Amino acid sequence: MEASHNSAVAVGTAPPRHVAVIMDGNRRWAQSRGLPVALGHRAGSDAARRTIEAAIHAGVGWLTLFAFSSENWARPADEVEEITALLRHYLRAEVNQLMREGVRLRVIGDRGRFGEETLKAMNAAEERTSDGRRLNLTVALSYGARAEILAAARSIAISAAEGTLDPNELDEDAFARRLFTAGMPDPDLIIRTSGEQRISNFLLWQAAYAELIFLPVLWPDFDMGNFNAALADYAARERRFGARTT
Amino acid sequence: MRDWGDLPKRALTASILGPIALACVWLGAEWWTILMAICVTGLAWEWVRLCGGSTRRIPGALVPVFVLISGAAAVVGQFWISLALLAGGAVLVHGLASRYRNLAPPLWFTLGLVYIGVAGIALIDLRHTDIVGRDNVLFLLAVVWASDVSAYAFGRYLGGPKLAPAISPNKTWAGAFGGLLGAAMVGLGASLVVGDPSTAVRAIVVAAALGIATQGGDMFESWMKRRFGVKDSSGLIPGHGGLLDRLDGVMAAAPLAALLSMVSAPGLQLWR
Repeated sequence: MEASHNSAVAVGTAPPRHVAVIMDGNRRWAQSRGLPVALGHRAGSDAARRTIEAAIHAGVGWLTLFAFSSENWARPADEVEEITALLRHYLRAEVNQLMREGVRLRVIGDRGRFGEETLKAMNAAEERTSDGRRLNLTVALSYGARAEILAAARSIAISAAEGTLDPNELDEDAFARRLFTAGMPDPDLIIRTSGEQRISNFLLWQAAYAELIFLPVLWPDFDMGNFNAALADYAARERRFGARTT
Repeated sequence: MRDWGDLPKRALTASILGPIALACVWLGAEWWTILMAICVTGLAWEWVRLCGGSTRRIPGALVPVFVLISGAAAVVGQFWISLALLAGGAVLVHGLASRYRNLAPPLWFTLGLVYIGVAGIALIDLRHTDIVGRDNVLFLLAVVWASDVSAYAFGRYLGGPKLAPAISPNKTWAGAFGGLLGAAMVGLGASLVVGDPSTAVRAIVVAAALGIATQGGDMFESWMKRRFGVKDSSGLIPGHGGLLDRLDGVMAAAPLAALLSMVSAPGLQLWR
């Protein structure tokens, strides 16, 4: 962390445009209370709801939640099943609320892996919330950043092989347009809960200049206070994007 | 606690449900029984869901079933049989719930069954006592509501130090004192208006004890929700969350009221 009190660059009043959250700690939360893991995930989805409300309240325009990584498929089958069932439940139950709040939902990741029924629920939820303007909520499901970058590289290679793209013309913006996050601003702030200090294959390309905040709180205990504290921490930091400020 | 913004919705819902409850007390034991059957079924459903179970499957399905049959035994006056049914149900549910590791620990299911069942039996038993049943249930409801409303008002206006932040972060000492005061006032009022002023002290003590039980129930329910990481027990009642959120106080105070009625003043009004 850098000393920030003597700098004027991007310090201050405006909230970050895009906050991304690695929601970690549901399992530990449940275990510490002697509860089954499924109830940890349920409490975690309540925390996600609180975070959506906190983001709207703080005037953050883009919120990305890392809900399920492509590596999470390696978890016990019954846990994966429970998460998928919870996901379907929330996709159905929360859509009306999201519409009322002006939230636009997008899903990034390999959504096909969740099965036909969940896929339909995801598509329907995206479609029904597509008029939302207050908050762009992106949920990363079966998401892995390396796979995302690889898919973009592959599509570029195919275009180059077909002769529709000149490799010399390719720049960062053109590359970014082939990622799941095409058209989205890069995250300014990434929060990870439960004390782990890793980025775990999340938004590797997009996080190039993101500020990172690691909080000890387990995800189901995360609330508006934690969210606002992270925003305050972010506001106090000096963001230079590689340039010098003096 | 909630924002002020919830207050109109809360007040509106309370102004509809409160009179319905009062009408059921007034109209007779049968109406009260129907209302209790609805309430304990709803409470059991919420409790099972809170514990991660479902009332459409074993063991969750057995919670409302046993609560209802033990309530039915209480309705026909078989007080001890109703308690025995509840105890049997508790053993059965505990045994069955132990087999499912994707649910909350079996003790939680058992606790819900006993807590809701005992409260249901107590409320039925109170109302079914001839002549004074109506008076005693009305007195209990008045104490609980006075406790809730004045705790809310005192807590809101005075604020101040927290009562038990680890259990329920928004409860204050001012609110707890206000709730107790509100409950005690109902005792005083009852003895002055419809009782015998010479027993006012006893009435105040009884009402205050019920008020403490009310706040204890409220506190327990807050703690349980924190434990499970949920905000409302369900969305059944607009502005109030679920039935557990609304009936937490009465669930804890009713068994005490029934016990007091049985031990100290059988066939008499609680405040005499």
